[in-house]
Amino acid sequence: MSFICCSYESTSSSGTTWTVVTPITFTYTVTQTKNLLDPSNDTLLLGHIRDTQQLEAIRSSTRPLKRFIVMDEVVYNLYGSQVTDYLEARHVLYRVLPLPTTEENKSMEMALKILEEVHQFGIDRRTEPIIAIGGGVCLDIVGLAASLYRRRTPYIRVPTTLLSYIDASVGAKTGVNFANCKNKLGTYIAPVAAFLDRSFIQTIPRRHISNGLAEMLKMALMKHRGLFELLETQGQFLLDSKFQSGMVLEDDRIDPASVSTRVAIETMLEELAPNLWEDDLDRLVDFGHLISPELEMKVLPALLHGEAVNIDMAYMVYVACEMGLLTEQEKFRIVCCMLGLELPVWHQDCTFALVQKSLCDRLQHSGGLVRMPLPTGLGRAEIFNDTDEGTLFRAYEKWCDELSTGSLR
Amino acid sequence: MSHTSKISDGACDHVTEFRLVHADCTWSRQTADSERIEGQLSDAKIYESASEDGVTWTVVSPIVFTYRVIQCERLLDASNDTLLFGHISNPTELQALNNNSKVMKRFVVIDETVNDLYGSQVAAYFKARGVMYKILPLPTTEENKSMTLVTKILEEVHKFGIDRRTEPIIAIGGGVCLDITGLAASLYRRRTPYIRVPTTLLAYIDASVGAKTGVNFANCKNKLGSYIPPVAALLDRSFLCTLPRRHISNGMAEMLKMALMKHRQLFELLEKEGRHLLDSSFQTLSKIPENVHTDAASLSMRLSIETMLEELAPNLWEDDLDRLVDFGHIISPELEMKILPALLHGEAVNIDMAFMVYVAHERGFLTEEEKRRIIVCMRNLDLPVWHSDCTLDLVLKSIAERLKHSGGRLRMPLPTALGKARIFNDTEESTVCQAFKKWCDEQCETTMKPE
Repeated sequence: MSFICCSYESTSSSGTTWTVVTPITFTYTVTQTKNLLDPSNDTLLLGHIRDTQQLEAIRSSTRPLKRFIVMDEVVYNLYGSQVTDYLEARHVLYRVLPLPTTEENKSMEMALKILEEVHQFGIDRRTEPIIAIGGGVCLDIVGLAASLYRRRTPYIRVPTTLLSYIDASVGAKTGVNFANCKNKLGTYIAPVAAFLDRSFIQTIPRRHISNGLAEMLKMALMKHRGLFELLETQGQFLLDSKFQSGMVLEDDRIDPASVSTRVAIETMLEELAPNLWEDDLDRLVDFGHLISPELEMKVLPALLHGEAVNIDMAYMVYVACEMGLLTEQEKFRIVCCMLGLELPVWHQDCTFALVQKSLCDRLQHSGGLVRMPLPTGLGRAEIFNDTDEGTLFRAYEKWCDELSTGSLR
Repeated sequence: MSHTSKISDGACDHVTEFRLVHADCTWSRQTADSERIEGQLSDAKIYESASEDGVTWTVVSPIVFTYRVIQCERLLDASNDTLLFGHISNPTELQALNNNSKVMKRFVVIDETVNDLYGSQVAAYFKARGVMYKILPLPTTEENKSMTLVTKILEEVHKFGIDRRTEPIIAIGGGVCLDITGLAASLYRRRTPYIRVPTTLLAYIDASVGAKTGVNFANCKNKLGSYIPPVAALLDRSFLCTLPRRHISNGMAEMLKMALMKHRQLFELLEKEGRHLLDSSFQTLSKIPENVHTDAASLSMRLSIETMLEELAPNLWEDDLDRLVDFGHIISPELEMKILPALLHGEAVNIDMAFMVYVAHERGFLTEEEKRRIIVCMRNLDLPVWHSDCTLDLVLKSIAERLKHSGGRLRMPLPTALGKARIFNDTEESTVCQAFKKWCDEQCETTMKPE
């Protein structure tokens, strides 16, 4: 499906110009599963294989499989022995590498550390994917390391936080921080598969569940009214039950945890799949990500990613209201929803100067347009390039005025 | 195309295919039989299936890479647009840029040696064009080809500041320079456009026309990298004037590789004119306009690039590990790294190829005469055809590594005639040993001493 166009420059004698046009197709699977670490469940080892013949061949072979696994340290403390039990029971030759995958450590150094270990262990070029088990930071770093090794090494994501379950696991981005900027280096190489087992979320602290809910809310505000209403009414329930409800099939269609995660993933995939390499810089999923990178890095580690995102979104909701895109009532409902999800809606370090700087960086970073996603109703949005400073400032004042106390006045 | 059969497994019965349509700022999925929403249709698709454990989504997303390989003259002449705009094929985009009064910015990574020779010309070009520029000279040698150098480039790029999409990083130098800069550019903001300006013959026909970028790691060649092509490779032959003779031979090894693998005419051209090309540094240009594309220098370069592009473009990300362009690259990586910096890349490649020609002859694919012709051709190009550090041990180790690295198959390209080749997986150890013995017997006394 690729071809070379060859054209001779007839007017000048300087030579030939060839234009190469090559499509590369990325295929990846996002699979919801239960009991991922139960030795009778194939998924962790074989779930990425789509070809039934290949699958059969491996299942009937006696040759032991080999796997290199990177786990977040904290996750390792909780699930490390289950993981090794699984691998032992399946007679896999393995190496499990626990690492402190925090935002502050999210650097090229850590990626290189992983690469040294992978290289020492030795894996097949194509058939022994590296497995990452942890939150977004872990998945991002391992993804980058895998992208670099032999120029492309397949890898698998197993998200263990709510945030990574619905966000980091479904896209192609990998990355590390650089020069104090979030995700300045990375690739757009998707994993071969992401395996989503909701039961990991039961050991997540409440604060981190809220953290993940912020990204869910983002998708809801941008494009799914139904999801928004579900979060409005069931937010507390989801927090209290840690997304462990509805693990039985019959409940799937109405259980809030099943429905919300499914819709969050679907909406995210809808937005990411057609724009995997960000050819188009107009992206609804950037909502909550214009100001939060600056804020998050400034007060690191005071705010979790989703918390920073929510503060950004809360402010932008005020901007939308100021521009007449949202009614007061809608604004109120959104902020109440956020508070119900126990997310911060304001922060003292989010000064107007920080807002201005972020938007200036955004302009630079996005080809001279601010490309600001703003809600235009509950569950719909548009991208704007013309928000003037006056509007931003008025919105800022109102935002501080109404929310700086931490609750709605 | 029955995509559904590929992705279904025993546990699920039904796969739904979704198209993706863009309307009202958002992407929506729709099934094939639903009422079509008006809007832009994506080439990407999502397949969904459900099992008792939950839902499985499969994303299929094609990404199109487009890049230009442009032969040009007087690249650093201020009146020549190519260095600034050569990568832009869209006339509207070009028009917009010309009308834009905003000052353009360019970040240039240049090999130290190349900088000594051409740095001032490069600076003069940008000054004359009113471009804000930063030139970063670096010692881009094989020994320095590491992530450390990549990080250095990134720090400087970040400090300088470039637009995310419209201000490509420019790399001027040999293969090592182009590889390192390409990797840095691939990583910055997850993708930053970059341009390759090769200044050696090797880079001209090899490193500039493919997608690979990379650095060495754990003492292994190119262990880390990416498959991101530049937006353009700008090929100005005049850089070769200042190239030492040894480096021209070096580049000709890769030319010869393509000739042996798939182009008899190119082989015969190198046989006949190789020495002359070497002596003239590929600068011979016919004075007769009609012959401009047919003089030996132009022709050999064009054929080398075309054959390389033919092999690389359909397999840009090496989905298929059977690659004719791997000829000369099975043993040479090990050899090259072992005695770094004694052998240049092309020299190591040629030694590998010379040995493999003996293997091909041992297997009855090449006649004695064909083998002789090839070795004589190599000698005339001043390339080494044997090396004392290329022991049988090293050969066997390299082959074992190849097996590991290539999904359990040898995938050994071997010439089956002059200008023809195939990939073989069944070369026996005894054949390798026999060929090795003959190779040493015939070549070790008469070979060039390595420097």
